[in-house]
Amino acid sequence: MSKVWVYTEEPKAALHVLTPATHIASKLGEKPALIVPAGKNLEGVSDRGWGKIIALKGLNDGVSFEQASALATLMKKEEPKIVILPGTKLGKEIAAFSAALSGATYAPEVSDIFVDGEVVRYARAILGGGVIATYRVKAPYLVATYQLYQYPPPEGGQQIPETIEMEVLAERSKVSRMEVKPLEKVGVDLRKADRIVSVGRGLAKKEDLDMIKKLAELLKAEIGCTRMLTEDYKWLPAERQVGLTGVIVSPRLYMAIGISGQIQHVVGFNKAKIVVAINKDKNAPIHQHADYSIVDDLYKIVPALISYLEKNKSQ
Amino acid sequence: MFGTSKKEFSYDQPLTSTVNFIKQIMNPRLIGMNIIVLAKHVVDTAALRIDPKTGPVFRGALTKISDYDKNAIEEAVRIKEKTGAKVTILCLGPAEAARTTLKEAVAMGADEAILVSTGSSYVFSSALTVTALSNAIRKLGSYDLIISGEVSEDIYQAYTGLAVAVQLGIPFIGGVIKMEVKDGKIRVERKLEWEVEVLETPLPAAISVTREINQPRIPTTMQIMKVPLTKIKTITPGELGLSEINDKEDDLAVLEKLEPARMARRKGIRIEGTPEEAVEKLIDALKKEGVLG
Repeated sequence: MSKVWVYTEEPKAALHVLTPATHIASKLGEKPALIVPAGKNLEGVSDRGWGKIIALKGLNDGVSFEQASALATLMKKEEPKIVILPGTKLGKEIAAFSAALSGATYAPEVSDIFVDGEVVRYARAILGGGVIATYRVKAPYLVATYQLYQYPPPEGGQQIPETIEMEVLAERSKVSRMEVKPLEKVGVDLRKADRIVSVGRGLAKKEDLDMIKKLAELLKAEIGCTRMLTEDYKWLPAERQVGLTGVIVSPRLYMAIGISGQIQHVVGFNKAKIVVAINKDKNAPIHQHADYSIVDDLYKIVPALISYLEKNKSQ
Repeated sequence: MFGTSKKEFSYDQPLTSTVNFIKQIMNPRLIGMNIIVLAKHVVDTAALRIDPKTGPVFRGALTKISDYDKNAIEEAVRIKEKTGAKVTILCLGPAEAARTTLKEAVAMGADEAILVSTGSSYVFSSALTVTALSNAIRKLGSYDLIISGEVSEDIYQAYTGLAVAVQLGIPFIGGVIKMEVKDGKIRVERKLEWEVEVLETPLPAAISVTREINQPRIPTTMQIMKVPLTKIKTITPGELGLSEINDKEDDLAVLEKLEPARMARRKGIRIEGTPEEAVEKLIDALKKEGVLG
């Protein structure tokens, strides 16, 4: 059995972590193993270069504790070195539970995992994202997650290993799932956006978002924002928050409007191709993280941008 | 557990609240639940200086209560106001937390606070943190509900609350956006990527709450100052059967390095002129970069 595992309750999510898992496994001269609850559709997933596929029988769908308990049992039996889960909300909870149950080191949303002989290290951003902490693993296993959309998946069409069904001991959860309702509004996924117009607390009032929406429409961009606007003012939904505690984005164009440039926000757009900053404070840190910056009042620049783009559109 | 109707317990009317207070004293059964809130004292990352060569400068750094934990305290205090409850804050952190984070928590409406003091050392996270908190909770005796913030503001692992629940052998539900306690059970809602889950579990249980769940009250400086230190108890890891809590190493991991994150190199081109001129120059530049259209 491989020393590097990927566990997921949602097979397609495994593709988000397969590239780093394959890389880490190759250092140990193997291919990663895929562990899933039994009865899942593995089409488009099973042919991406797995060394082994194990389906765990008798698990309740969606109950993270039971899946984690089964995974922890399997870990103690088969002794992997590294178990990786995709960073979906349920994925992170299964990872944390399985680490707590198995005595593993837990490393959510890592930036890297390093294998050096027997020694495993991992790195992750802390303290607002301005600091990278590197830890050496002392526990028998490391359970880690990666943020989604960090890596494109490996090619399909590779040899499909036989799926082995297994029954392992899982502790039942006292939590009952009473109801599952679809989200009233399925939020935008900024990680897929090509252009983002992002606003911060330079915006004086909620109504002024109309002006930002107008600009975003003209630029064919999605709207993003800082933590202040989602968590403190509650002007925009959480999925539009760019930053370490929000989403990490990689658009071709990121336009930061009225944003001061706190590190926890900056790390969120670090992968953007071109960054534009509009902020009247010449000392705002955002200007140091921009390719093009305009030191002026957003209430002058945004209307000027809108009228320029409208004029050029009609030509 | 809640023998009194909601109407009778309305906190809006001062008279009923006084009556309730007397009732609570007369009848301990009506005091309701024992709620423990896990709060963390963190370095204020917004004000933390990061040296581009050596990394974070902790000396003289500002510290504060982790924002997410304020929502946990608020939720506990709301239950107390609605149905009566005893709210105890539990924190593991440096000695200074007693004067700031824990005083603030009591000023928000908690009944008492306990600090597991790590002296002058500031601990991000540790396997021992989980053991220390779990041991402290066992020592406190009976409890119905443990609430924590979804993540901590310094290392965002979303782990301690969950791991404490696992050590105590009670159910845990993370990321709660709405909750209701009724008949010895708690019913909560939480958001996953595409759906809202409604979950229910018998008490005792542990949950973590998001910042979406409520708007925490802000105590005045005077209210915080007035909190008597007698409401805040400091205990040592030794009293919980643990040796010194090391901020660098525990049974599971060793913190080897803290270094500044590498940020992308940017062109740093300042565009000058009137708004009209600047906008035109900007659009031209973006067209040349090939990021428009």
